[in-house]
Amino acid sequence: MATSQKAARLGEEVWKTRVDKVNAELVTLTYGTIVSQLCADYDNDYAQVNQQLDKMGYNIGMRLIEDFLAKSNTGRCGNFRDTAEMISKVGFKIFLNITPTVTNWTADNKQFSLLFDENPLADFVELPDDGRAQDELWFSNIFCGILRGALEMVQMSIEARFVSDVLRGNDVTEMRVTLIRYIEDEMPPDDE
Amino acid sequence: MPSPSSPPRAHGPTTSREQPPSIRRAPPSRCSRVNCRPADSAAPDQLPSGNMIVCVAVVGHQNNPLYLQSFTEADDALKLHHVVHCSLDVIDERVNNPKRSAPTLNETFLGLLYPTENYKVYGYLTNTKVKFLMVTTDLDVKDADARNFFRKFHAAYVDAVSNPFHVPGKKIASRSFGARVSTIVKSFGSGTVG
Repeated sequence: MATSQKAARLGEEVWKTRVDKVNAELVTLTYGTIVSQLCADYDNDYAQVNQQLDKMGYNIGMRLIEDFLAKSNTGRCGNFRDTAEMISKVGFKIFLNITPTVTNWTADNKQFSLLFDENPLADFVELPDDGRAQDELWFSNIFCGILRGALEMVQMSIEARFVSDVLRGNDVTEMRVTLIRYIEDEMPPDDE
Repeated sequence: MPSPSSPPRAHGPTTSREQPPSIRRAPPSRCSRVNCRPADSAAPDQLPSGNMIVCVAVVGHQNNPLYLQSFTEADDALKLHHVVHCSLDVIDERVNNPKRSAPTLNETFLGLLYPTENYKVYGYLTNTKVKFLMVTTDLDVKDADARNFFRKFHAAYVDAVSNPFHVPGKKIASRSFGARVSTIVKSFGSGTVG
């Protein structure tokens, strides 16, 4: 598909030319520490941890979208399918150098899955063996918040959640993204 | 059994035959685990092929056991662990009395520590004073092979402690570490270097 190729090219170009790189292990270990500290702080109440990660992600996403728009210099997406391609091939590409696969669209084009073949946040990680973490903790839940926050700033209200994770022993890491609505009323006033 | 709080002290070589506290402290809890032998997938059809590692261990900087795994069918885990713990004294001795020249400053590989009739023990000391030990039945191991083994083992250890849910200084419970160690141990027998 044309948009997808275009997005891939754009992502590649921005990644190569306009992004400052940091050591991947620094990111991995920092994020890992945050999650394990949250687990300690909330006494292994993993539902709470998921929620906190989502909140943190939301705050990141709200700011990150600005950076994304500045670096990628793209305009509005025509439809939600383009948005998905942008997220995967430009967004994830320039910030993490990964391109999760966009798949499993519903017929109404309002819901898709992102399949993460690799996940830099989860390198080295093995979930605690307490019998609950495997069922309750979404280790990379910050991604959900980031998408939610970022898309909200560009007038899209979405819901994102993980449905499977290799850390839990699933075959793939899959995030389900659902478009709830376009936020029409909060469109910035037309000042042109 | 001595109280667990007694620090596992290092003894001189003369006392090493009697079990120092750390020896007694470790095996009882570990043996039961060894008997359930998760590593057996490695062993059965690989009978002494010349290069056989029978036991590997990771020991913390206070000589506290972090990981101990034997790779034998027979019920000799206790004996192997005893050998491992005796070797710790040899490490301490070497570290405290560095006889040989200065260029060993950054040398982590300690070489052959403790030859017995049936086993040879090789050691490796990281800069954080974590010790790796390897017990082999092969009495003719090349230094390069042992070095190579420890290099891979060190890499596996680094990844295991990078797990954010691992608490430094606690035993390594990671399954993937166990699996990786089994693989490394298996490949040691095949005699490939590199």
